[in-house]
Amino acid sequence: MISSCHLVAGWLPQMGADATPGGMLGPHVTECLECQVEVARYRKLGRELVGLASVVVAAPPGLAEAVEIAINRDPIPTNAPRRPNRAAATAGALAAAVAGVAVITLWRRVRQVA
Amino acid sequence: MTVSEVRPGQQDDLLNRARDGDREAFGQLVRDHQHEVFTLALRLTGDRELAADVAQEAFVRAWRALPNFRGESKFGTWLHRIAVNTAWSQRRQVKRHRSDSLDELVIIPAAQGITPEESAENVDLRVRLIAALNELSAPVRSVVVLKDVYDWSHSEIAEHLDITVTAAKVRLHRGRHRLRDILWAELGGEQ
Repeated sequence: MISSCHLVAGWLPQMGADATPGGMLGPHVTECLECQVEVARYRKLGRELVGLASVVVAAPPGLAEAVEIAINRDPIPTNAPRRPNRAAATAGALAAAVAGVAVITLWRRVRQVA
Repeated sequence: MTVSEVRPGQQDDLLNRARDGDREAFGQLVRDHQHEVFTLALRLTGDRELAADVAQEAFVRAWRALPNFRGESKFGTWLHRIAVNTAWSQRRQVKRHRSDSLDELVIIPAAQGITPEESAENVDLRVRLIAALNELSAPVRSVVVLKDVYDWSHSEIAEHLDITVTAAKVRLHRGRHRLRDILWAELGGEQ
């Protein structure tokens, strides 16, 4: 049988920094010191990960210059070519198909008359 | 060294000029955003050299795509997405690298409002956390970094890493569990 502690341990990584066991697990965590320690660890882990967002690492010297050299070799970009209009393309294909059928029908009638 | 602060009005002007093909204006945008883009690349790859390559390639891709940037998101957010796509497309080059943890603490912006004493207390756990992140496989680390550090949604992560939302959730679960194991196994149960 799976213990409540195992259930809590499996559930905590889904919750991260917001780890607050509720439902059936809540009363167990209130009573269980080991699970309380686990909850505290995941909360701390979550807070530390969030905290990393405000730690900016210095780019290596020369990065900006290397980018400038690379883009100086590049042509000046222009707007990407417009994608063909899907509706217009569909209408065109349909018109071509209708015209094809019409030509074949006409050709058959001409042959019958002949 | 400090992280440069970009004033929104100034950035809009630079963006407009760069969109018109002004390389100098784009160069200024690169200088303004290089540290944050490099940081994201470093978090994703765990390797300084590769992160520099990813950041450089991301800026070149951004330059080429700039005429299509419509300002629907912030320029920095747009750059981040390009950097994630670039890092992901270069993931086969990702190596395990565990020596960056101390180097990373070269910059801790004063704007955080953390006193030197508080910083000192947090440095140890932060160093170990960065080292632990580098222990994760690249696919798992990417999800943990994007979700827990950069607060991306599961669907954004899935879209940019070309995986399902379920796969993103599974990797996040594995990653957090592994980080917990690495961090607290080392301490032998210490809080």
